Amino acid sequence: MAAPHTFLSFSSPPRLLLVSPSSTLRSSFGGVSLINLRRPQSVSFSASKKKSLTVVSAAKKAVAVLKGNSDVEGVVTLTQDDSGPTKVNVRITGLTPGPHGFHLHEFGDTTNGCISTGPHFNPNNMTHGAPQDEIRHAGDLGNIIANADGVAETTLVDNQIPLSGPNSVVGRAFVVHELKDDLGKGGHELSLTTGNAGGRLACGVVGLTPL
Amino acid sequence: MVSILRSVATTTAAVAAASAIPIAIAFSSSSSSSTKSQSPNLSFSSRSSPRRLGLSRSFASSPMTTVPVSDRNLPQEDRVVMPQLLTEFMVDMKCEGCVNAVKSKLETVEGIEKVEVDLANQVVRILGSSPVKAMTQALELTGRKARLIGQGVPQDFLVSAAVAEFKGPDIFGVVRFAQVSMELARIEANFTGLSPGKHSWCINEYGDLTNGAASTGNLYNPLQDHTNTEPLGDLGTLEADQSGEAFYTGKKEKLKVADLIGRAVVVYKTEDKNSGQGLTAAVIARSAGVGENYKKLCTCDGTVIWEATDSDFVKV
Repeated sequence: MAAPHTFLSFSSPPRLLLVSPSSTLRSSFGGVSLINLRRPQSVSFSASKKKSLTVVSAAKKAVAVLKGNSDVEGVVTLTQDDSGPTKVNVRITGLTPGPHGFHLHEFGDTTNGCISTGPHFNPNNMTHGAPQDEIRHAGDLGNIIANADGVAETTLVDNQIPLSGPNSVVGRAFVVHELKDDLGKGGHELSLTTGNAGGRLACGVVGLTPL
Repeated sequence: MVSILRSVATTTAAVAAASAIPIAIAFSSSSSSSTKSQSPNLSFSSRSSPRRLGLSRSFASSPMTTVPVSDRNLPQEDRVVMPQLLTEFMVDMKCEGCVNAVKSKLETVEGIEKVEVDLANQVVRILGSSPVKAMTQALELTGRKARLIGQGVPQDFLVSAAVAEFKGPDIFGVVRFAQVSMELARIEANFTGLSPGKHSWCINEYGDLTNGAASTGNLYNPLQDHTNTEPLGDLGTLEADQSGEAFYTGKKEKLKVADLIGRAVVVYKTEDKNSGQGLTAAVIARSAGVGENYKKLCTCDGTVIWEATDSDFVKV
């Protein structure tokens, strides 16, 4: 059998060829390891289904629908070309005007609220910071700012939140917070862990979406 | 029955033995550590770093067996012996007496092979084939709060657990997936708010809920094996009782939890999947494996684990 982490596609037996429509999250192969690796986006998809699946493309796309139990809700759309930065389109409504901390947590599991989502997504073991800082959690996306109507609409571009590979953000949760994230600089004892951003208003799991 | 259980147990007994080398985990004394929470040093855990090394061991799948389960907490249709797995709970225990109470209560649950308690960290680890529902009920019957914090086989999979949460407004539910071996995953589901009767349910290829179930694409069917009559994403049928509740435990060959992340679980109105769009859908999210999340306090807002819920949002 092939070694773990093989860059396989056509060489493996057909039943083990796991093709995921958006080229993300393929396990390296059945039988040895389930670790996801970034690899060339050269798998030709089955042509039997939707049109989008027939396209051999390096682009990746994901979407999260955010909800809470109040009026706060929104949609976050992520796109990434090849291994370039990820573009994050955010539109969240129902907020109080002003800045709100916006983070990606390690797990998308909210069965026990903030606890089961784990910490901010932090594969490099850093402390909390601003998105433009060198020292930050990958999941630190700073603040989104709601206008007078309570609508936050913005496009973020970030290098630390890929849509494939071991640090893929798919399946993790976006959380929009009650308060402003002080970006690690507030001097509060929580500044370096969470930015002291208060409770959560809404959250959503990043899911795969057709291109 | 006993011999069947024993053969099922062999697989996971090997797992436990292989990972029973205690490794001193460096405790972070600073509560401001933003990364992993403290890792209780349990002998089931041999993790020494937050990132898994991806050790690759293959375990034989448990044999497909069907025998009656006599647990009175479970509905009659649950007749499949489930493969064993480690499940980790945080339980509000404060004394040695609590430890004994918890252990003796868990001993009454069918399918539990081994229980380990770490009082200092309030962690209970259970090796067994019992559903999460039965274990949670037993723990709560001791009068203590209990929260599932991890599931899977430590060290073997980068992604060993996943969860899909249905958050209403009508249908609520939690579906848990756990990787048992390379070729086998366990599935457990609890739903409320369904119409009584049968509902087909499945995994669809996209976790895109922008248009609810309608935007989740087609049935997840990665094997493209036409000799196989049942697509991998087909989960069969849920049966809701008169109060609209449905409980399901099952296992599925060839299902790989890592490949399900970001897709969706969809529940249909009737037994017939082709009867139209799904009623409701939820994204399959990453969930903590054993030893991956010992978070007890939400540092964003100070919520402690016992008070945390799926809906503890701040109202605007």
